[in-house]
Amino acid sequence: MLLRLGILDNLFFSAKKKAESQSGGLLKMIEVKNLSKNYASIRAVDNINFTVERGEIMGFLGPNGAGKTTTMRIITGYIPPTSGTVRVYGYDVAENPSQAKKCIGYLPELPPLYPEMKVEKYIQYVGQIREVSRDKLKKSVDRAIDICGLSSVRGRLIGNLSKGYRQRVGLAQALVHDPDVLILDEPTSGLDPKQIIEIRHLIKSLAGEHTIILCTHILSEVTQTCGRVAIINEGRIVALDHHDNLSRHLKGTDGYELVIGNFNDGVINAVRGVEGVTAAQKSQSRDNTVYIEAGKEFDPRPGIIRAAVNADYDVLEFKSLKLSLEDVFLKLTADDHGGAQ
Amino acid sequence: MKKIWIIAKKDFKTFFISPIGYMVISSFLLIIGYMFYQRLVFFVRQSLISMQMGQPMEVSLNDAIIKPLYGTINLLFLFIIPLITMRLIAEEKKLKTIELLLTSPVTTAQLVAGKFLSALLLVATTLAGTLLFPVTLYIGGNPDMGQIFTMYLGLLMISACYISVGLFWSSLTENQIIAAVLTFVSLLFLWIIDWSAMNFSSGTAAVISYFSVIRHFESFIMGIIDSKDVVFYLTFCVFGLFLSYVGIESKNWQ
Repeated sequence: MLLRLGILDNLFFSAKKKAESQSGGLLKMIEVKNLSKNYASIRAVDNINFTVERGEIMGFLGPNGAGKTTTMRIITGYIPPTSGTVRVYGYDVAENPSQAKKCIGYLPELPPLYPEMKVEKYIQYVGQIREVSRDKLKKSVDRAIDICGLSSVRGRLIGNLSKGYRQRVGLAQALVHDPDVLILDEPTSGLDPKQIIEIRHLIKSLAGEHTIILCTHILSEVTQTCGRVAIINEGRIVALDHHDNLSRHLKGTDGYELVIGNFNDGVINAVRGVEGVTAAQKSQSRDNTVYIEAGKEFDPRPGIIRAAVNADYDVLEFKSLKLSLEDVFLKLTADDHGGAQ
Repeated sequence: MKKIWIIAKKDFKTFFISPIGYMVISSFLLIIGYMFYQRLVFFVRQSLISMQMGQPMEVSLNDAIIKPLYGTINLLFLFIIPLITMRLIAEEKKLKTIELLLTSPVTTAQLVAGKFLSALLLVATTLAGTLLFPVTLYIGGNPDMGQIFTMYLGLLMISACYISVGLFWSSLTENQIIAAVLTFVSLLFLWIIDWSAMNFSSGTAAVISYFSVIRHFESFIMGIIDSKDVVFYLTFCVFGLFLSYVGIESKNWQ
C-alpha cells in the first residue's frame, strides 16, 4: 500500500510555519495536560498530553471507542475530566469555562440540530447564544451559510434536509461565531463520496484562520486533511507526529520497487551490490519487479538506478514504498504500546 | 440575562411550531369555556328564580362562578403542565442539542431559567385566554375584581411550582413520556398529601399538610395574598429549579 506524498499539505504547512515565525513564535491554541477520564471502572481517557498550534489541522485518529469523543467533550467543557487540565486560547476550561467556550466551535458526532427549525433561524439562534453581537449577527449568519454552501436551503426546515446538508448545517453552526478553534468530531460520517470530498475541502479551506482538531476513524481523511496526527487507542495516545514521519519512523528500513522492462534475475544481483541496499528480491505481487530494502542512514536511490541502467536494464518505474497510515495504525493499535513518539 | 431570554424565546416559539402548544391551549380553553358557560347559565337561571320569588340572591357572582372555575383551572393545570414541561430538557437530551447548549457560553443556570421562563410564558398565554371570563362578568354584573386578581396571581405561582417539578423530571430522562408521567404523579402526590395528614398526630399533620400545594392556594381563592403562601410557592419553585440544575449537572457525575 502506498502513501501518496501530501505535497500540497507540506507546502501549506511550511508556508504557515513561516507566517508564524514572523508573527513571533508559535501560539499554543489548545493545550491538553495529563488528561484522564474515568467512567465508573472504565478508564476512557488515560493521561493524554498534546498541544495544537495556531492554524494547524490536527488529526485525532483512533478506532471506535478509543476515547476520541470523550476527549473532545472534555476540551469543549461538556464534561469535566477526572484529572488533568485543558487550556483553550490560554483559558483554563475548568476555571474559566465561558471564556474558553467562546473561542470554540464544536461539531459533535451527531450534529445538534432542531428539526423543527429553519436553517437560517437555527444558525441565528446558535449565533445568539454564542454571543455574536446584534449588529454583526446577520452578517455572521450569512457568512456561515455562504461558507457551508447552504444558500439554497436557508429557508427550509432542518428536519426535511438530507444527511449531507444536515452535516453542513452542523458545520455552519460551529462556524457562526468565527471561533479560533474548531473541533470536528467525525464530520464526514454518513456522507456520500462527493459530499465527503466537499466537506474535506471546506475543512482545509478553514485551516488558515482557524485551528482545527479533526476526529476520525477514517485514515485517508487524516492523510488528506491533517498535518499532525495523534493516534489514540484505549484512551492513550500511542503516536503523535506528522503523518509522513509517522509512517517513516515506524519502519526501520525503507522499501523500494523497481520495475524492469527486460527483466531477468541478473538485475537483482546488480542491485544488491549498491551501497546502502540491505536486501533485494523478486517481488511476490508484481511481475518484472524487484523489491529492495535499504537502511535509513544512506540514500541508495541514485545508486540503484545507475546500477540497473549500467547493466543495460530498462528502468520503467521506480518508487519508494512507505508504510501507509493504515499500516501504522494497525501496527500501533495491535501492539499495546507503540514506539513512534 | 440576555441568554435566558434568547433561550426562553426560542423555546416559546417551538411550542407553537409543534402542534403541542395549540393543542394544549385549545383543549384547555374548550373545557374551561364550557364550564364557565354552564355555571353562568346556572347562575342566571338561579337569579331569575330568586327575582320571581322576590328574594335576594344568596350567592355572589364570585362564589357561584369564579371560585369553582378557578379551582378547576388548577385541576386542569395538573394535567396539562406535565405535557408542557416534558419536552423542555428531555428533548434536548434526545436530540443531543444539550451538547450544543452546554458547550456554548451558556451556564446551566441560564439554561434552567430560560426553559422555566418559556414554560411559564406558555402557561401565562393560556391563562390570558381565560381573561375573557372576568371581562364578560364585568360587563354584565359586578364581580369582585380584587379577588379575581389574587386568583390569577395564585394560579401563576402554583403553575410555576408545577413547572419546576416538570423541569426537574425532564432533566433526568431522554424520554418525554417518562418525564410527563413522573411529573403528573409527583404533582398529584403533592396535591393529596394532606389527605394522609389525618392519620398523624397534630404536629406531624401540620407539617404534612403544609407541603400540600393546594392548601396554599386556598387563601388566594378567598382573595387574600398571604406572605406565608407566597413564601411557600417561591421556595418550592426555587427548590424545583435547583433540582433541575442538579439534574442537568448530573451528567458530570458519571
